[in-house]
Amino acid sequence: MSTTETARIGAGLPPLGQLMRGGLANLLYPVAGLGLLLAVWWYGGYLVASNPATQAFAGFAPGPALSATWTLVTSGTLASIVMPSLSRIGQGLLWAVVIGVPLGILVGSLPFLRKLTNFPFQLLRMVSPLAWMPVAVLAFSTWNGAIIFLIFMASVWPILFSTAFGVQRIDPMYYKVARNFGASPLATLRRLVVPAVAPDMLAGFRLALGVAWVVLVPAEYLGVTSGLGYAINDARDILAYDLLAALVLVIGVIGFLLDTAVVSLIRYFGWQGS
Amino acid sequence: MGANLQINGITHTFGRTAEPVLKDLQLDITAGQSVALIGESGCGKSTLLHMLAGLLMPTEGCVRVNGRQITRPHADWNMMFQRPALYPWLSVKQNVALGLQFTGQKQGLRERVREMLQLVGLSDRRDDRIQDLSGGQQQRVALARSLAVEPQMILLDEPFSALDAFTRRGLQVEVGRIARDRGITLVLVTHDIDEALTMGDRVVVMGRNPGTFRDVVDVPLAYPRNPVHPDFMRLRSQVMARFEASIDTPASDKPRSDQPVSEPTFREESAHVQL
Ligand SMILES: Nc1ncnc2c1ncn2[C@@H]1O[C@H](COP(=O)(O)OP(=O)(O)O)[C@@H](O)[C@H]1O
Ligand SMILES: [Mg+2]
Repeated sequence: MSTTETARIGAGLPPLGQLMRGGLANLLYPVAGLGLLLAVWWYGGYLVASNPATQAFAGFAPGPALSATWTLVTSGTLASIVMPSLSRIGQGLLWAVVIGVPLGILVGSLPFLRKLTNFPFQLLRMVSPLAWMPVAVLAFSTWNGAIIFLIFMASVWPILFSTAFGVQRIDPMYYKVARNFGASPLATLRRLVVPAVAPDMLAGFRLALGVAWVVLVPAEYLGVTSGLGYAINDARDILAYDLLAALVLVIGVIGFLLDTAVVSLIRYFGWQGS
Repeated sequence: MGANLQINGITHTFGRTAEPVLKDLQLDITAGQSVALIGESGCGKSTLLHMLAGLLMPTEGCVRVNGRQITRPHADWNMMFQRPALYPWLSVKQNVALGLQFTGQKQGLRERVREMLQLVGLSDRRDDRIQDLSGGQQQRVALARSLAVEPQMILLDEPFSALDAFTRRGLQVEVGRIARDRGITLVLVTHDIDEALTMGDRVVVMGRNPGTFRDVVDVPLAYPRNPVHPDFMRLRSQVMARFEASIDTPASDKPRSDQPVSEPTFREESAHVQL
């Protein structure tokens, strides 16, 4: 999409009609897709509501759910639910970057370390982050710490592997250029390695954010009394299915927004495109 | 100011048991002089140039710059490669500034970059991405990057061989002129006799298996040199003859299985001057 757009801009402004058609076509599919989702949701809600056995769950339908979402947003409770979750995600990802990126650079640059760690890392990577739950609970004195640890365990691998992959892909000539100017190892790291791997690192970060967001909700079923996972559990306990559906909606929307933000970061720092 | 360069009894062997790639090389190059090394592919030209740049240590002998032995790379003598190897995440002007940043020179960086871009005629492309430049323009950026650190010596490893004939000719003339204006010592590795004669004050003919200096030909022609001038053409024949001789008389009496002396296609090519 960005390629065609750049090409269009590069070629000067297209005629207005073409712009309209292009713009509408770009909008048409997302809107239609969203409409389809709503229709399926509405029909599901209708089925649930019209069946006496499932009537209690009628709150899941779009009508009640959207009105509960509205209340959630306008009453200000949404912020108090979302903020703790975002804070945990942020801290977990921060640790994943702080540990994953340097480790990835090391593993990517040192063949012996790569061979040494390949097997254990692949093994650890395949363990579901939630399997660490008992360990996390034992190792951390607070529930909050345990959840951040789980998010870290989920997100460190994509960051580490993408970074290592990016380092391996650096053109050896680039190192020669740096050495040729008498660059110190630190200058080489700063001016060559880090910018060179930035696109791969960010691609890994995007994957990490995705799994972290997925792991967050079940992790917040643990002990804590705040956050999206807790709120969902709570809504279920009080049989507030409209609220539950609203929270599911909110989780989807926020996840989408976070991903979009990272994608624009990738656009900004990406130098590999076109 | 240019650097005095001394190639002092260099012999080099890769690995422990292999035959030497370079043997007993001896040459003095005075400051500001320009020397072209020509020789067949595989005779060790790049290996030697890496040693002059301090990127590789010879197993025997040493390289001295202004009397001091080179043991590691330094911005005062830098190398231009066949591929410009610009960093694609940096703009044109950022690439030109790269050498300065690697050596930690912050003062006057902007002015220096501006001056270098002007020198190589790319001022109007300063903010472009390097992917949007032609091969010749990219090599100009690499030249500006090398010149920006104000080196005493520039080592060129077939830096124009990937360019079309017109671009190549233009850059040969330009690089030579800039180096002379600034008194920079040039060592140029090439397999193109015309290039050697266009840029070199001296042409050193190398033999191979192992790599040796076979001949040194002085080029007493005024710059800029005209490749169709009779003197130029006479020198070309002279260098060509030496070059042929270097091929016909292998230094070691080992059979040269990889490149038979009488290979007809090679003869045919050499008639076109560019080897
Ligand atoms: N790092 C290396 N290890 C082993 N052999 C090498 C290495 N670099 C070059 N050689 C060998 O040394 C010889 C000279 O190579 P090179 O200096 O690249 O020649 P030229 O630049 O003249 O074509 C070749 O036979 C090549 O195979
Ligand atoms: Mg070579």
